[in-house]
Order: sequence, then C-alpha cells, then structure tokens
Amino acid sequence: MKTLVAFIDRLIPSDELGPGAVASGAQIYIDRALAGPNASEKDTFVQGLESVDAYAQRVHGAALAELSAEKRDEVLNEMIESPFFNRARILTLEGMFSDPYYGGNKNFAGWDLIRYPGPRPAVAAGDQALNADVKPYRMSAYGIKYGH
Amino acid sequence: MAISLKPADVVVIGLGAAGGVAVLPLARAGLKVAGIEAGTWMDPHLDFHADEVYNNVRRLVTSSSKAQRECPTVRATTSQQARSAGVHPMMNAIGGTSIHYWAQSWRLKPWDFRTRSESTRRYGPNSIPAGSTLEDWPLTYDELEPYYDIIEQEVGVSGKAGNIQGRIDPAGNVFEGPRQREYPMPPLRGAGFTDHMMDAARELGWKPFRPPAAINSQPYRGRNPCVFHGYCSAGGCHVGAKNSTAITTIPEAVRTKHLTIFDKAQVTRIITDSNGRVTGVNYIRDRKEYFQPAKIVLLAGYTYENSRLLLLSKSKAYPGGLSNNHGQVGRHYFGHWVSNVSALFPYDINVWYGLPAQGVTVDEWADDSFDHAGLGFIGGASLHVYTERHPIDAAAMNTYGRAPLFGSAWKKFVHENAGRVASTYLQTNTFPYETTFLDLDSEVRDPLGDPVCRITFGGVRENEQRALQHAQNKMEQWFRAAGAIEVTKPPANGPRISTHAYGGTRMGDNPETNVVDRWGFSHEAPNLGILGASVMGSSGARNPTLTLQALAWRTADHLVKNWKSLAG
Repeated sequence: MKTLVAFIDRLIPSDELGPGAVASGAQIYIDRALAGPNASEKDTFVQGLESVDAYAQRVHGAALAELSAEKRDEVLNEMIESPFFNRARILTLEGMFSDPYYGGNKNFAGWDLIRYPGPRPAVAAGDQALNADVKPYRMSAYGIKYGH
Repeated sequence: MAISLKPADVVVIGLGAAGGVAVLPLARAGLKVAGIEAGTWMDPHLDFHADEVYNNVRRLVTSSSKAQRECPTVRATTSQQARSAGVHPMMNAIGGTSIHYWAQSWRLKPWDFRTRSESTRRYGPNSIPAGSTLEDWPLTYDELEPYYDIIEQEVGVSGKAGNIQGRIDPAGNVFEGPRQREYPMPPLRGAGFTDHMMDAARELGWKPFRPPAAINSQPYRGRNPCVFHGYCSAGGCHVGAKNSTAITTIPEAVRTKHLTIFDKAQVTRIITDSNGRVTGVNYIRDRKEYFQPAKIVLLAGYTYENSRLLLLSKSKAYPGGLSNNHGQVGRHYFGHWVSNVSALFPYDINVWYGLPAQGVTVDEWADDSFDHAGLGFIGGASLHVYTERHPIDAAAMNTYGRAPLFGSAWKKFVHENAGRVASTYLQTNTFPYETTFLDLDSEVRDPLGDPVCRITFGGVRENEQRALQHAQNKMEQWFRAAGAIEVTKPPANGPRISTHAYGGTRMGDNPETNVVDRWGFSHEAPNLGILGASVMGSSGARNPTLTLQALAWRTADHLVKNWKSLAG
C-alpha cells in the first residue's frame, strides 16, 4: 500500500487545481477492486509494485516511498512505457473519477477537476448547450451517504 | 433422461431483440408459445445505474456470467490457434441485448437488398469485392417496408422521415427508401454540439439529420420519455425510455396469455426426427434436463449462438449439424466494420449528458449515395456524431502530445480539455467472404462441456478498408469545418468479435448457399425458423436491430398465415 500511495500520489498530485489521487481516495478504490472484482489481476499488480520498488532501490538508492517527489517523477517517467504503468494509471483514473460509492473521488474532487457536472435525475436542454456553465450536481448514484 | 413437458405450438429459443418481437404476432394469433430464455427479468431499480464503473468498466449489465463462459474464440486464419475473445455483450436476459444497446433503429436502404446486382449494373462485375460471397437478398426493401413500419409502431421509434411515399423532406434522411408514413414519435432533441455539427455539415453542402432511435422522445404507450442523464450506453434504462423488448413486445405477448416464459433455461439441443423435422428442444434448468416438444421451433439466439446450437444439434438426418447438409451453417458470417474518429475542440462542447442515439448523422458517404467510379470500392459508411461522455473515459483522453501522461501538467490539461472531445460512430457496408466463417472450437468448451463458437476472420478486406478510410477522411473534413483542432483516425480494421455480428444462417433462395429461405425457414428442416442478424447477408452502413426485428416479425407473420402447411 505504501508503494501504491507513493506511486499514484505522483500520477495525480495534489496542487493548486485541487486534491490529487491520494487525497481523493483512489487507493481505496484500487484496494477494494483488487480484493474483489479485479482479484484475478491482484498478483500481477502486486508484483508490478514490487518491481517498481526494486527498480527505485537499484537506480535511485531507496524504495519508491522513500524518494522525493522529483525522484519519484523520474521513476514514473522511466517506466512510462511499461504495462504496469499503464495499468496502474487506468486503475487510478477509475478510482479518481468513479462514483464516490467505490471509495475514491472524495468530495467529487475528480469530477470537479475535469468539470464533469455529475449524474442527475433529468437533464434539461439548457444543460446540453454549447459552453453551458452547468452547476455540478453533487450526488452519488447510490444516494447521499456516499457523498453530496 | 430429459423430463418431457406438455407440447407447445411454437418454441422460441431466446427472448432478445429478435425472439422478443416474434412472440407477439404468434401469441396474438392464439398459438401456444413457449419462450425459452437462458437469463431472466432484469430489475430497473437493482440492475440499471448511472454508474460508469458498473456499466462500462465492469460491464455488469452487458456481461452476464453464463454468456461470458460461452464467449467465442477468434483466429485470423485456419492455420492459427484460436484464442478466447475475452468478453462479449451477448446477453442472457429477457430482452437480451436490446436492454443495453444504443437503440439506433435504422431501416436499411433499398440498395442494401440488391447490392450485387446494382453494383454490377452501375460499376461492372469487377466492382464486387474479390472473394466475397455477397448475394442479393431474396426480398426487396419494399417487401420489408410494412414490417419496418410495424416494428417502429409496436416497439416505439422516434425519428424524422426523409421520404414518405416519394415525398422528400430534407429535415429527415433524404437518402432513405420510401416509407408509408412518419415515425410515431418526433426525433430526440439535439444538443448544442450536435446542432453545431449539423450546421457545419450543411455548410459543406451535406444533408445531416437526427437519426431514428427506439428511445421515447415523448411519452409513448404509457412509458416515459428519455431524461438524457448520460448512462445509456451498455446500461439499461431506469425510467423505461429505451424500448427493449423486455418492456414492449414481450409484456404485450404475456398479456395475451398465450406466451409462457421459461427463464433461466438453457437450450442445449434442437431435436429432430428421422424425417428431418424438428420435434422440440432440450433445455437445462436448475441442473434438470427437460424436453419441450413443439410443432415449430424458432431459433433466436445471438448470431454466434445460432450457428453454434445448429452445429451442436447433430442427428441421423443432419450428421454435420442441424440444417447443415449443404455445409452452409457458419458460412457468410461477418462482423461489422466500425470506427470512432475523435476530435478535440478549443471550447467546451458539453456532451457529458445525452445518449449515443442523440446525435446527428450524415449519409452522403454510405451505401451508394455517391458515385464510386474509380474509387476502388463499393459501399461506404454512415457518419454519426453523438453525446454521452463518462468521466473515467474522459479523463483517460488522448493528450495529443500537448501534455504529459501524469502530474500537475496533465491535471491542467484534462481540467481544460476533458469536456472538449467529440466521439463518432462510423458504420461501414460490410460483406461476407469465403474465408470468414464460424464453426465449433476444437478445444475450448463451455461449462456444460460443449465446444464454443470459433470465429475465423480471414484475410485483408481491401473493399471495406478503402470504404472506411474514405469515410474517415470525410469525418475529418466535417470536424475541421466545425472548428476541431485535433482529429484522430484509428486504423481502418475489421472486428475480431462484434456487437454487430451477421450471417452464419444466411437467408436466400438458393439452398446450396443459404441456410434459410426468403421467409426465414430452413431449406432443410421445414418446421425450423431462424431469427436474428444471423440471417442477414450484408450489413448496410447502420445498426442491425430494426432490420432483424422486421425480419423476425415477418417470419412469425408468415408462420401464422401458413400454419397448417408449416406445422404439418
């Protein structure tokens, strides 16, 4: 989990545009996915994390979580063509931009980032106008207990 | 030993898009219909959600587990080992794939029914793609028109006519064949972006229109209109605005009290007697095996499963599989060539909400709408620009080399651009070829121990490739005219496995090259009918569902009118 957090924290960092993947709980989404619906890829994914740490150790002298943000960015860049990077990125996007019901996208930080106004019960024609400034509808499809 | 049940007049195997409409005319005629469906009723409150992970990432509506364990294998050529295609949205549920489809409800063009003779006449015999087994359909558009009309009314289709009995209306599709009357509902409203694209097409001199959909644009027969909430694709409709057979023709047939539904029942074999007539079907429910006798069997599974069940149903009369004494089952199969040309705009196009059927279509570059002389292909593709964009998919957008794939610079890029990407659906006129076919896999088996279907997709198809590339270039031209700053054209390739899968039990007059006759009944087993896109011998440049439903109703209607001779 430490390595995963150190990794996705650089994929989508917290900055002046708002919370990043970790602050939004993407790691919770990934953890739950690998424990359940994505269990078949869990071993491969964990091995991928281990090899990231082994690489960081060998090339940069410490496990990923022990490296500075700049060094971690270097590691990510160096492995950007690898299947693990691609898969970790996809799972992080799923966590960050899915319904908060799944554990990520806390306070709708992911949807705010890309300016997605959220599922709503009915969409008026004006909500589909070009350049419309649609007021975000902050509601999980599974009800207010998952965030509103 | 199978438990033998009370005989039915007609057994329908599969209550999806095709079987789900065929049961209605049969039940209305008072025939005792047994509808056997491997899935069951889906619940709009429990099964349908405005949730991208549920619908699109985990595909929980489209991929019922049983169907996935029957997923076909694929290979390029006969010399290769076939591998599982992974997942496919063929469906076990009452309503079948019509539950989660885009509900685009097209009629084919008159040209689609006569492509071989029309192309030969206009461009010469060499215009027919080499290696293609294309034949003219055994019926014309005019013969199918009354059945298109019935489906549009019974299921409920919204749209704008472009040709009513020869009167052309440029608000609709001016390239369509003549219709007897207007659609029962006006088209779905446009979105700001699709209206903008419509203007851009008109400036190019093209004739754009709002396409037809089995989605309610207004209340229809007691059902709700669409709410445009943006989770239509690969999902079911929680308000009942998407007119799947589960909420239209099937409940209507149930009300006649002549349709009995056997759900969670998997048909394993169609049974034949020594004279070559079918006598009923064996199915498994709760691990018990039953025999449902019937005077007529209508096979209405997904295209892959139709061929598979016939090939599995071997008997003395049909040693190579039911209705396969001419070796035609699985032949003339093809998957629809489709493509997404995407574009980035320098402003917010706001297509988050809506649905894939809410859009604008251009038909100038499809079918034989334009002169093909010297182009090196026949056919083309329809161009369709649509709404509905989900947040994970949007965030995973192409960065067009304008930003890195992660970090703060990426965040800034998606913050600005995730709501500025447009998607399209290009559908190519696709034809059957000698080297593209279905058979049974030699190794992979389903949980019952039966081989799954195997797809051999054959070699390079230059005709479809050129037709699609031509259409992709037209799509780029349209996007540029509308102000796009980036346009991405994927390679023009055919599918390995397809949601628009055709053939395998092709319809035609010649029993040497076709499995069913012009009415949809087997050339070999006279009381076996086959429904679905598996009877279609060419795709058209548009979605298959309305056509396969019109054909299914027509087969059922033919059965009712000729009951004595067909039922024996």
